[in-house]
Amino acid sequence: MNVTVSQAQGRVSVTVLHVQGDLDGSSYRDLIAKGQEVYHAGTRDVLLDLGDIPYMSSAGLVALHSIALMLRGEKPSDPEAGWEAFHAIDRDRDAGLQQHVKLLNPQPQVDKVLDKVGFKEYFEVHTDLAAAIASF
Amino acid sequence: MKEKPQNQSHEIDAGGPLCLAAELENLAVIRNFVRDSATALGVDPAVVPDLLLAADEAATNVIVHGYQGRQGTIEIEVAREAMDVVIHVRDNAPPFDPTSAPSPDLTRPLEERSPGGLGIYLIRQYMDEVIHRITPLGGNELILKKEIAARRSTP
Repeated sequence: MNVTVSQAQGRVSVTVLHVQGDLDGSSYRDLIAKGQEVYHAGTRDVLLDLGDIPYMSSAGLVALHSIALMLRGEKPSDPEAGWEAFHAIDRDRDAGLQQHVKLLNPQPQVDKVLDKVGFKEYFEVHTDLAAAIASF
Repeated sequence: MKEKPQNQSHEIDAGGPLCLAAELENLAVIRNFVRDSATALGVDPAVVPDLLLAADEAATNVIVHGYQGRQGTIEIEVAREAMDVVIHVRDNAPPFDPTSAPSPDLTRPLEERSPGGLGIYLIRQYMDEVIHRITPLGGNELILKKEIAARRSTP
């Protein structure tokens, strides 16, 4: 898996993390580390471009949730505790969709996993880059 | 490690089992093996991604929670049994039945949650049947079954 970083300007500056490759148990920590890196560099709004992720397992869900927590200034959940991500959705449901982390172009396998665990009620999912940037 | 289950009649194997070190870096190898085996067995291409996810989640649980960082091996076998594709995931980690993990219950407190439970939840969502058994050598075998043809929604 490879992650490249770019900046886009809408109403606010948005950091786009373009992820390429499978997001599984061997690679999800790399995505969390990249999220931490851009957060510590001052980023507060992130668009995760999932268009080049052909495959994602539950480990990827943990990475997405960890980045969402970081952008809210909270401590990322224990990567081994998959339920933490799942249950956090329930705790956060009343707060609505995440405002500072959004998803772009999940491919069919990834989209199905997001749907199965209710992450599409937690993350705003876009299919157009310009619209995604403008939504922040 | 391989111990063929008894009384598995009419089972067509896709070839020899894949046996490799229980390491997260091997997850892609496992997925490729399952993809190639399922294709060779005539599984509906629409079903194959579900098999990859189930095998990956099962293997990840073995590596992370079964062996818990210790060295070990994991064996994957894919076979066809009548109209089902069957994935066998075998290991020599301490016996643990992941199918006994509680079903999703969003009201349970954090301390009652089972690590890795998200993986077994997805396996249950994607497969038709999930069976755990203790092997004669005291390891684990997780048997994942799914119809080879994708279910079409009726009008």
